[in-house]
Formats: sequence, structure tokens, C-alpha cells
Amino acid sequence: MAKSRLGGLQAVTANDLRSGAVVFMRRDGSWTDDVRLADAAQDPVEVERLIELARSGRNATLVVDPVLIEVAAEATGVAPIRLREKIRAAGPTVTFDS
Amino acid sequence: MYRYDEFDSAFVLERVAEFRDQVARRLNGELTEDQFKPLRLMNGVYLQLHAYMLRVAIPYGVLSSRQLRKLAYIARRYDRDYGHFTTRQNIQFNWIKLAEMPDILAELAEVEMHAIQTSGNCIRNVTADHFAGAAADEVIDPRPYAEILRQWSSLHPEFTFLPRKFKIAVTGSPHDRAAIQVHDIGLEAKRDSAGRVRFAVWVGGGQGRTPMIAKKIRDDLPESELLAYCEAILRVYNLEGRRDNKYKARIKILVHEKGLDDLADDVELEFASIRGKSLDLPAAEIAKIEAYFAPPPFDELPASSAIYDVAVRTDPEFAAFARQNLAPHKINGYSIVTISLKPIGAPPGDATSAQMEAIADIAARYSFDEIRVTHEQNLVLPHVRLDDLPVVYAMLASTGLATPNAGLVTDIIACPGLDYCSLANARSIPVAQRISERFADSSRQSDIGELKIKISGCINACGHHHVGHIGILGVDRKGEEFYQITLGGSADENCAIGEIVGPGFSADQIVDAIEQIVATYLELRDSPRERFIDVYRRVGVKPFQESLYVNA
Ligand code: SF4
Repeated sequence: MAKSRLGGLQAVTANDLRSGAVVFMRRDGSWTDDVRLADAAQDPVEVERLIELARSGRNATLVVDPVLIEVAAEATGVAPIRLREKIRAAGPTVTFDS
Repeated sequence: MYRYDEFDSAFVLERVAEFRDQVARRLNGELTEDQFKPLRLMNGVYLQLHAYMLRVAIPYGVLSSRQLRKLAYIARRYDRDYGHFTTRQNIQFNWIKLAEMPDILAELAEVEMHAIQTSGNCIRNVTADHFAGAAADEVIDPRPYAEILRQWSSLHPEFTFLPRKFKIAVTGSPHDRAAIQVHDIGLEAKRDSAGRVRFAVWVGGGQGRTPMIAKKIRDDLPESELLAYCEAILRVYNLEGRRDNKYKARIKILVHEKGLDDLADDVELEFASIRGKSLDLPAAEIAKIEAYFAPPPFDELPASSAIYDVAVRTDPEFAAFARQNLAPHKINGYSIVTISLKPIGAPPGDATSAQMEAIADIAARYSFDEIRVTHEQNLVLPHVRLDDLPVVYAMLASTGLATPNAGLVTDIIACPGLDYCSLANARSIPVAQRISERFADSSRQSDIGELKIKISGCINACGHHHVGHIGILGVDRKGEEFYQITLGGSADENCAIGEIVGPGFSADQIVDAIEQIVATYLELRDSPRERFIDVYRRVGVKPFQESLYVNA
């Protein structure tokens, strides 16, 4: 299994199989589109458990390509760190009203 | 003889049914993602950052009103009410649900469209001059040849698993609007002294990580041998192209490593074994295809129009549009209209459903039902009467489509970048939007004159930055967006790859840097007639470097 190389606090993200929408995993293996509600872990064993759960059987028909991302714990909940993940979580930064 | 079947709708419908079954099996778990992914890609379905993206082929950029209305309908019904026209004359829908994909493909099939060969290591959608059949400088209409190549390459059994994707572009004008020298094969149709059709064949051009300008491998290829010769090139490439390293797999690397002469020898050898046989194109067959592209029933009109002249004199906004967005037509009394999909501050290449419908209506009424998609992410009405231009302009203006900036600093090409694309390192569209806003003033734009800015969000170069007069490449520097600037690139018959000007700029600095480059150009030019690219060719990169870095 792909060991996490990230180190810090981590959460699992994927795309919803049906809609393609960005989703994040909760500790019980359910998925949410709100990154703040994702469950994160730092302990390597716990991180491994999260990603194993994300890749386990029933998720194969729910999500595509689950991966670990670095996150920070903020007052409002979990927040992604890298720009790519921020954009995935919040949607395109393009402005449409000109 | 090669068989030119009419568009094979039975086949496309079969493919739709097959894909419907595959999607159902993916959703119920019978197919794993690993099994399904190649199948969806074969049908133009990518998974991007936020959603599935569907890329629909628009062969050589030609659309009818009926087809454009269908694209509008799909955008409204299945997407977020807009579509994105790409640098390969295709359209992409950014927010599609997998379960609805088969229905969309069925809708497309109703108007003879599909998404086949928009992905994978095959011969991709053949592109052509977007002014084909209309431009005053055109020698030969390239569309019949593009269509012949499309039919030949569609699902060609031998060439569905090439070392890498393969792109062909065709022009029939000495002024190259199709960027043929940055394609795997670029074709220029022309006439010899006896008036016969001949092709100049360019091979091994491309952008991406290792940009290269194509080399001319033949200058005098007879029309009847077009397919046999292309087939010979593809066979040699299929055999000798590298499969060990995806970054070295394009034919440009083969041309580079092997040398043009050796490659040409191999191609000639292969060609000798197939010429004059099944791939030969008899004149009658070419004529049959040409008939599909017969000129519309143009009226016989005087070369000038009083209605048009009065509008230019009395309406400054129309005059600005006419100056910038019209191109000379080969038929007296007609003009080519470029519809800019680059309103100030908007994402380049996007069109809403309502805009697509408005354009379809205008084309039906005023442009013989034809619309073209340009690789510069604009649309074109190829055949509008001068007399009708004021009305057409007013209709375009009423739906936000009359921005008079074709070819100017705000007519920016930008790839989807990090806002959509899963391969991106940095954002492209917001940079384009900010540059556009900075240069919003239209008299300033027209003073600056022709200037092509092209932006890519990663080294794959979908935004054609290597051939921008000013190219911008987004890179990831320790988790931050940085932008590398190249200068002096050009995609036309004087094709050039831009030169890196120096260290990159942060997202905060990039727009100022572009403005500085433009200011330097304005200082250096001899007269307003000397374009940015002319000045660059005259003075080189140095003065730009000095003003960007030394005085900084
Ligand atoms: S250039 Fe890179 S970021 Fe832009 S669309 Fe192509 S792959 Fe995506």
C-alpha cells in the first residue's frame, strides 16, 4: 500500500464516481463535499487506516482515486493547504461576471 | 481505392450504446476504475479537478447552426450553461455527470457529432484554417483534404495505439492561420506552375515540454498521393517512435534524433511500397468530397457597400469593430467576421448557451449557416455580406459578443489551468482575466496593435505559450504559482519558439511584468506600424530583459 510521505495532518479526498464532484472522507467512511467536515489524522497508523478505508470494497462504486492530502486544523474545521487542493475544495477561482 | 463512406452514424450510435453499457457496469461495480478509465477516455470523457469533462470533436472547426444549437442545449441541460472552446478547435464541457454522459453522446450523434479521437494515442481531430473557403488570400480550400484525412484517420486500425498522440493541421493559404509548423504533420495545399494541387508537408512540429518547429519533408507532394504519404509517415513513426519514455514519444523527437534526411529516406521507402495502390486518391473521389464544401450561393455584389461605409463613418464603435474583427473575403461584397470570445475580464474561450444560440441564429440568417471555431478560442462567421455587417454587429453587441479586440493584447489564449485541469501547476484563466482588465482601454489596445499573449498552466502547453508573441507558462515553485515569460514566439508561416526572458514572476507581479514589456515595445518601435513581433525580431530579447530586470 502506498505509504503516506506527507507527514503532517492528513485527510482523504476523492471525486464522486457519479458526478465527479470533489469529496472528502469522514472517519466512518462516509463522504462529504464540505472539506471542513473531513476527518483528519496525523498518527501514521491512523492515516493508513483512513486511506485503506477509502480504498476498500464499497468505495469502488462511490468514488474515484482516493488520495491523502495535507490539511490544517482550523477553528472552522479541516482546511486544505496546497493551492490545488484549495481550488478543488472551493471551486474555480475564475470570475464570471465581467 | 480508399472508400469514403458518408459519416457513419450507425457506427457512432453503436459506440454510444456500447458506452452506455460500460457506464452502467462501472456504476454497478462490474468494471473497476482501472478497467473503465481507458474506455471513458476513448469517448472523450476526462476526470478533471471538480468534475468530469467531455471534449467534443469539431472536425476542422466547422459547425452548422444546428450543431451549435445542440452544443448550447447540452451546456444548458447538462452543464452550467456554458461551454469552453479550446485551442484545438474543440469544445469542452466542464461539469458533466458520468451517468448523463451516454445521453449527451446520443444527443451529439443526432447532429453528426461525437467525442471519438479526442483523447488517447491516436490521430486526433484534424484542424484547419478557420477562414477556409472564405479568406481572400486562400489558394486552395483545405477542408476537403482535412475531411479526407479525417475519414482516413478515423479509427484507423493500424494507428489507434501510436507511441503518442498525433496531430495534423491543414492550410491552403500562404499566410498560415492553422499553425501547421507546430503540428506532428502540417500540410500546406498550393498550386504548382501548371496549376495542379501540391502539398508542402511539414513533419515533427510540436509544443509541450520540448517545443520544436516542424521540418519540411516534401514540397511537391501530388494531391493523389496525400494519404499514401501520410500513411508512410505514420507507419515509420509507429515503428520507430519511442515507446519507452512518454516525453520522448512524439514524432518531433524521432525527427530530432534521427535527422530529417534519414527519416525522409525511411518514409520514401515505405511510400514506395504503398503508393499507387489502395490509398491513391483519384480525382473523381476528391471532386466528390469537394462537392460537400462547394461555396455557398454567394450573390454577385459590388466590392464596396454604401450601407457599410455609412456605418463606419457614423458609428465609431462599429468602426472599431470593423477595423479589428473583419478579414477580407475572397468574394466581392462579403466579409469574414471574428466573434471574440474574449470580452474584457472574462475567461477566454467560454460561451454561454444563450450566446451560442444567438450566434447560431445570426449564422443561419447572415452567414449561410456556417460557424467556425478558431484555435485562438474565438468563433467566426465566414461569409457575411458587407451590407449586413451593421445589423450583425448590433446583434452580436446585444449579447456581449462584439468586443473589438481580435488579434490585440486582450485577445488572449489561455488553457483551463489549475482552475479545472488535473495536470496544471498554476492558474491560467485568472491571469488572462487580470491582463485583460489592465489593458481594457480600447484605444490603448489599438495603439499597441497586434500582440498575441498565450498562457499555459503547465509545460504541456495547451495554451500555446511557446508560440505567443508573449508566452506565459505557469510553474509551481515550492507550492506557489510562478510565471515564466517567453518572448518572440509565433505560430504563423514565420514560426518561432519564444525565448525565455529570465526568472519567473509571482502571480502578483506577472501583470506588471507584461505591462512593462508592452511599455518597452512602445518605446522601441519605429512607428505604430511596427508590430511587437517585428520589434522583437529587430532588437532581440536584450532590451526587454534590461527593462524587466536591470531597472527593477
Ligand atoms: S497546459 Fe497543462 S494545465 Fe493547461 S490544459 Fe494543458 S495540461 Fe492542463
